[in-house]
Amino acid sequence: MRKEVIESIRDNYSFYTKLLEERKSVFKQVIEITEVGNNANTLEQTTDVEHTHLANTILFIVNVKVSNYKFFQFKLRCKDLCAQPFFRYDNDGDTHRNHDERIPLSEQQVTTPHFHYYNEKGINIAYKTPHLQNEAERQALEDINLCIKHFCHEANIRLNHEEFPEIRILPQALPFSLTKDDPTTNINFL
Amino acid sequence: MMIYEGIYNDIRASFGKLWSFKERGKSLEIITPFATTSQKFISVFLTEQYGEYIVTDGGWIDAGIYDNTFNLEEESYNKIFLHHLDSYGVKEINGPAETKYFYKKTSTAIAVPSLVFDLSSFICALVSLSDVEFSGKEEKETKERFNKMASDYLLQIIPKGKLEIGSYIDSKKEVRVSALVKATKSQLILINYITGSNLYYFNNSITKANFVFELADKSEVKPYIKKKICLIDDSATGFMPNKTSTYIDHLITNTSSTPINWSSRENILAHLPPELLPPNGGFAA
Repeated sequence: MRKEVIESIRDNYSFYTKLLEERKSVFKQVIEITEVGNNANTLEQTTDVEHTHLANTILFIVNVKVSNYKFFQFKLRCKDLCAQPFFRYDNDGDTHRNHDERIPLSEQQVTTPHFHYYNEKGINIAYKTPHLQNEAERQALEDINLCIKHFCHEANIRLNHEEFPEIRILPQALPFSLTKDDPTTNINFL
Repeated sequence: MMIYEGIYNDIRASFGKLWSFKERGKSLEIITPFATTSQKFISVFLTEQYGEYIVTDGGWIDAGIYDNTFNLEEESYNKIFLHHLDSYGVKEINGPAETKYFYKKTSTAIAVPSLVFDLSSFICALVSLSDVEFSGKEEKETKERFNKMASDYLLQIIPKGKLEIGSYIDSKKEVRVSALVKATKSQLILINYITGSNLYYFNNSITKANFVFELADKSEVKPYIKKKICLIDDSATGFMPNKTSTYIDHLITNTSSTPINWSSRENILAHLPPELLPPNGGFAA
């Protein structure tokens, strides 16, 4: 079975570690999610991130499903390193397989919500933090504004010094929080 | 006691533990043990409608939730899609935003596991196969472009009558090279072009050159072959030095051929006998 290897991450792993682990800053207090992404079902907003020691351009991307505000992703991308996001959080969506024969099969499965990072071999690994493994906390983190704090902790990003940015989804629209969690609603399976 | 009983029991238990679920309103997301080549476990959604059980992909294939593509414009992928749709008896319907939903349904609960099995296999195949790069326009254009560029260049630097493009080297007309230089009556230089719009086609092109040079060495003209040259299109998108080098190294050592990159194509001149060199010192291009 193919395991996609991101060679630029594998070959520059100390850079990758620095990029991910060291302090980064955002300067927008409020991130307004207003743009439609590549996919018409998804909203997308991109914000600049500055690394304390690296000059490379880093982007913080937020994706939210139009029909379900609990279906969101946070991504960090550095095009100087690779085209794919180098760190990512999926609140909902598909289940990842950490394909590694040293891990028992039943433990290779990582459901959402989960984070994604790359190991030293350049292979994408999904993991859950202890907060995500706790059912009460997991439910609380479905709120995108609580979750962004968790993401910023994990990715070492801050607004100014110890603060976190706030997210507003379609601030101009009526204040309904859409949560169409069930993908089968409103469909007639003839 | 049966042989390997412990391992067998572990396999059953491990597979069994891969089943998982999420409740989503009136439907149940069932996470199955089926996994794609892109390391995604397949989910199906179970719900009831008008007294029937529905098992569906929830629109996830078409929406690209598995980080997959779903492009039925690609002819080969479309054939694979139709084959699987037919084989598993899967139906399709358009949902919101024209997203395609795939599903099977039954009125008897006992049939639900069978439906889950079929739909999971169906989703798994379509997601995995969306990663396959089928031949397309890009590949055709890449090949045509490089063939023309390389041949034009050789036509410029090699005197008329000494160069044949795409000709057979043997009397049985079985072995064909990209270009054949007839340096003298008893001296042949074989040239194969290597290009490709992606890694797969690039490596295929290397493999083909390897095969042609091997056949040349088994043919009646072997005693006359003075040199074998691989003209490598290092401007092609399929040229990835850290991924193609194993293939190229094998080609070079296996067939005792000389690699020349397109970006330094003038190096070919060093491999031509002096009588073939153009009077201006060889930099006609």
